Amino acid sequence: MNSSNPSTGFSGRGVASGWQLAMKIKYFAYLRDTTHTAAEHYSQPAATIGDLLEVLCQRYGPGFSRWIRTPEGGISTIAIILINGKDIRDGAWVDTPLSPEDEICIFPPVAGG
Amino acid sequence: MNAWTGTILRVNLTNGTIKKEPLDVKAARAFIGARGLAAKMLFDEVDPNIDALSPENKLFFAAGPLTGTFAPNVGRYDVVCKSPLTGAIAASNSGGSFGPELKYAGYDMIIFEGKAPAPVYLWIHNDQVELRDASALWGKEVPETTDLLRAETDEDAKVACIGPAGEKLSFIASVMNEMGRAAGRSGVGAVMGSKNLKAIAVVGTGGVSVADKDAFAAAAKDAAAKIKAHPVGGTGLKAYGTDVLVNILNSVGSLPTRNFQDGYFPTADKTGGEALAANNLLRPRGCHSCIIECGRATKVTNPKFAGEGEGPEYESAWGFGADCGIDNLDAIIKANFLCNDLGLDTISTATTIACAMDLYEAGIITLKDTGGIPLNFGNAEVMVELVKMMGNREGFGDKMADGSWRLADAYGHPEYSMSCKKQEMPAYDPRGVQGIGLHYATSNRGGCHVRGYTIAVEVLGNPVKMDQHTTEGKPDLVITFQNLTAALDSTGACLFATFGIGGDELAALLSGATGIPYSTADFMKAGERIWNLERMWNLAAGLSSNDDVLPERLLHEPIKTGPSKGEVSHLNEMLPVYYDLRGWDANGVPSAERLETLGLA
Ligand code: SF4
Repeated sequence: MNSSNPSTGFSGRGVASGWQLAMKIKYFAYLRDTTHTAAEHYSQPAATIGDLLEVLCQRYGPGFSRWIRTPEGGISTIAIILINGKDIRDGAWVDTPLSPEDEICIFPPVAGG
Repeated sequence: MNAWTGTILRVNLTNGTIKKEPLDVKAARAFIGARGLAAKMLFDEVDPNIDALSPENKLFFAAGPLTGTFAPNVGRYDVVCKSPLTGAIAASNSGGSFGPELKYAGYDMIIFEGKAPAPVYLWIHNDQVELRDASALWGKEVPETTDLLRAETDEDAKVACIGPAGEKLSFIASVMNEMGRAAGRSGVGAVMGSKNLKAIAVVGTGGVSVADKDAFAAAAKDAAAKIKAHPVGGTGLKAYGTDVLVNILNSVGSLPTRNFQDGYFPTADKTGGEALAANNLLRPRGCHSCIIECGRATKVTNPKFAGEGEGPEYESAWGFGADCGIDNLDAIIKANFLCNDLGLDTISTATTIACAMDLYEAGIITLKDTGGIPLNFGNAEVMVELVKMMGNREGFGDKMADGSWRLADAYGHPEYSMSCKKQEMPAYDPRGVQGIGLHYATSNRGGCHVRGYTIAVEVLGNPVKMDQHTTEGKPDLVITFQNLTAALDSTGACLFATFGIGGDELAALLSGATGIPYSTADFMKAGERIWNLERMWNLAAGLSSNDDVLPERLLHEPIKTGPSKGEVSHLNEMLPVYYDLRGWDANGVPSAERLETLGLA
């Protein structure tokens, strides 16, 4: 599937049509259990990473949002969310603005050593 | 006694005598146990200038006061000696059940002195302790040694042993216990081999008493609840193991690639914890009293690399993977199994192979040197073959068996060795994560991550987040982690318990178990005391601030691709601040006042 679903803005591999550029979203660890994909493109404009996370939590439901949200409904500070490799916790957090060419990586709280 | 058993076994291998000695309670209180107490005894008993592989070196197997208690994640012990790899103090930490079993047999520590005239093993069954002939075991790999010893002693015996690598005095040989658990770093296996000591088998049927049952039970319950409630300690490590870090470090551009030529490996996902869980994981596995279970029981069915065993941890998956330019997970797992069987440290083995590949591609070593083996990055079959050759010191593997620094130095290019104090660095690129570089450079046992795991804060954001690329605040962060870990290791607790608990909880556990009231400040101060003692021993062994360095590549060659492109390490900005905050002079020597404060004067 190489073209986007016009109603959702998501597409599988490749760049979604209808927009010149589509941001790439990569999922890791538990998140893949609900997204059933390691990466996809999203072509709808989302002004901030907070907006995008809201869309993703809606789209994938509790199996996704439980790793990303706090019980109070905010975004977890121990989930790792990167925009072009930069951690949003080092910047404007959920207000970090997005551009269509961005690459987003989303990790649930995991760690190692 | 409570928590500590109060008894140390001293085994003189030269003349075969075995003595039981009382624990020095005052020293135990100040240095806690395991790593700290063994370091104190090494400091008091071993001349830092000896040859590490001479009979004058001593080898300590030391459990902590919490080891073997019913607190969560406290099943660990340390192997301490002078390291042949670094010339510094070695303290290699391992899990499994060997440490607890030693306590149940009635001992806090075993000290081996001298050198046996012929191969021996030590058999401990509670009070009965004897040296036995091990000539039939010499030459055997770790699994067979373990099986034969269990058959000869007790099927429930916990066995710590060396494989062929330790016998052949490889500077990167490990001590393995229960087949798959390693006291891996700094060549402690070679010291065991140099003493003709093949193994220790132990069965203990006693217990570990605690001073204040109620307080200890409450502290243990509190610690367990906090670890379980934490998303990482409670679920994450069990599901994916530590190898889940491959994708995280790669995504922030700090996954060292092709011998630290780069910090980004495009196909890293094929080697991460997600791929491991999907394709090779049989079940998670935990050490004694572990409620996290980060261990991996794994299997490879691909006939080329078939096998079953334990691992890989993140460091091993990275080392045999991205660092060698390899994304074949089956080959990576096989290399890990071989290291376990041969008794080799996976980090140093893998990074020595990466170094050899780098030297080969640079034309510094040729097919003539390697015996016709092409050592290009990305060659998975060759990588697996090299592990076997290193463990057995065969062919070119003999040159590689003493680690990357000796290999690169032999060809006139030590700068190709990605090591600190001649010990190979692990899986976090100091150009992309500033604080960990400062830790590598200052770590008392050379290139190592687990003595100051700033990655928790700089990358994972646990318990707080600091920007990985800034230097500000990093010296303080490194010192806090180094002190905390020195104290934690000395209790017998697992570092991963800190994904849930910290100094407060550990101090409460220690107080309840020993009956000595440790405040959090006392606990941290004990860590600082241990760190400074290790430093003093290293300085006496001839190390200096000239050894608190990183390879030139990391200071001058920026990361080429990925999110950390353009970054170099700013170690030299951070180091003077670190010395100052430690109370050390500009040459990294602890001041008399600081030593006085720590009770080390
Ligand atoms: S978390 Fe891992 S290393 Fe720590 S005790 Fe458990 S299994 Fe062992």
